[in-house]
Amino acid sequence: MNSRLEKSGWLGVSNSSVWLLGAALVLLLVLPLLIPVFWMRIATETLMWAVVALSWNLIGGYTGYLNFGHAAFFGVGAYAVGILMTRVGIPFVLALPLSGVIGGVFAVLLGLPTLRVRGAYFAIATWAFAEAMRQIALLAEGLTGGGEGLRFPALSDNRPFYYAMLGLFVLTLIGLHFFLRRSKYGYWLVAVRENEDVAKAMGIDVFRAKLIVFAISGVIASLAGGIYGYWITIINPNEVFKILISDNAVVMSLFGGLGTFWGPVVGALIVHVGGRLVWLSWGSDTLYIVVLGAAVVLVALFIPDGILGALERRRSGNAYKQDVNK
Amino acid sequence: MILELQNIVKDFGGLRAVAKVSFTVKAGEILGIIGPNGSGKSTLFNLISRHISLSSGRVIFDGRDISNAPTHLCSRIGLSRTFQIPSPFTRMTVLENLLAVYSPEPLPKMRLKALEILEMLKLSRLADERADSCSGGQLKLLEIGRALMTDPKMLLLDECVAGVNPVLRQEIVALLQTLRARGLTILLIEHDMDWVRQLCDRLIVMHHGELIAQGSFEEVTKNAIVLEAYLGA
Repeated sequence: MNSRLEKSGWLGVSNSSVWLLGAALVLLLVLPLLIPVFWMRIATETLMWAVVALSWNLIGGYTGYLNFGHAAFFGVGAYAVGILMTRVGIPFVLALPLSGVIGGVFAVLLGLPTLRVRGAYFAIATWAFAEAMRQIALLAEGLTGGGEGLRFPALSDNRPFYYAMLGLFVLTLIGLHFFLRRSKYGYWLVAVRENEDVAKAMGIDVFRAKLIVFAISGVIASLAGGIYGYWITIINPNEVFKILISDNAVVMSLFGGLGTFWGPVVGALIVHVGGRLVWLSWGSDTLYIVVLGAAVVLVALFIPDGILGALERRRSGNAYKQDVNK
Repeated sequence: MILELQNIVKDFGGLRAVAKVSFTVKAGEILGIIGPNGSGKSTLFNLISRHISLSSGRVIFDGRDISNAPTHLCSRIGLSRTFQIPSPFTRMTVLENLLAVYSPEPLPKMRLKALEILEMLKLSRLADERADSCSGGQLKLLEIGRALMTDPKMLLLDECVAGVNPVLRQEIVALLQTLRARGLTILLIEHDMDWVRQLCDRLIVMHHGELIAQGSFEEVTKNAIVLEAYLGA
């Protein structure tokens, strides 16, 4: 029997995949020695977007709750690290995990009322929450520096940030592997997405499952925001709470495949690196946004389950209804 | 007595879908609910499984008042149900569908149980096929299998043989008799009178949200009120 739970190899990952993942990790570890600083920046950003999209996919892809305010968690993480470092005087290595906790708390507080409503209402509520957070950060000048921004102590070397993002990326993947593929939660979440009434009839505490996942999603996005804030050295509310962050997470997950394990990573690679290449060639990303918009429409129309979903469908080769939009 | 309904009422706005229904189900019994379309049978199921809330009345299961219990608790205390329209998790395999239930057991143990259930349902060879490649009859079995994964004391089966071929219908009769022999209590809704006669110890007849008759198949089918409800008056 070759089901998902009984693949040979290490922790349910096949042997060939282990070699491939190992090789990819080694490449990512030595990458800063091989590429110029400019490209290292892009590599760091790509890792960051992969983490943000992975965290979004947990609630948006696996559970089916479209969070259009994911930027809220990213921004909370950036400000939490900034405030803890500059106002409280805590070192970064302590401030970062704390920012994750704070992000998780925000997610629970937002999730308690909003995860009871479905579909469009959740999307609107989360979107409004991110906007509210941006406004609060603008107004709370004493704490956040308001529109002037919050300045971190500067670190001239870019490399630690690359490795911090890489570390977060790898930890996120390992954590999600155990959570989604090696625990009952992975099954429960899909059950919740496909049919909440059936999930309840099967004894699953649907609301609690959603809340836990939303909290984890918030923690991960906050950690990414926290590293980003220190890296970029000056943050302001219009940057770290901007709607484009949420949009990116949605688009990257959609491209790669909603509710697939690697989808957000593939999506982040294509969308972010693609965007930088267009920017390099034409010196502006305006054209890129047009191309991206058209691509989103095409993906939604023809491969609603994304690139990885389409590949999986081709491989398994059986009759498959495109039920992602259900 | 494993299940007791006391004066159950459900109003949808001005419409009384279930009107003061009371009956009891004995442990180990197979009880059938029949009645014309729209007579409130599925609503009754949704009330018992807590998928909708009661307007008034009480539901006692296994000595416990579950009238206000959260939906997921019903399954956890041994009251499991299937749905009239099979609702498989289509992007999962058949085996994974059985694993997507709450259980205090660890996954490897659940997996062994799932394989046993698939064996009993004769679905083993489909274990790694996606649920959306199953036939209608196989999906009905999958519904029952998923409900069995929660270790129920009592099963609520909503039209589990509607649209199922005659051979499989007979197999399901045998399956349900086996389950009853193992101590399971079964409450089912069905339209096919011949199938119901083979299986049920007792029948309850509903019409316009009311319980109009109960008793053995013979008693119920000779009842003048029941005949009137079915033949129209």
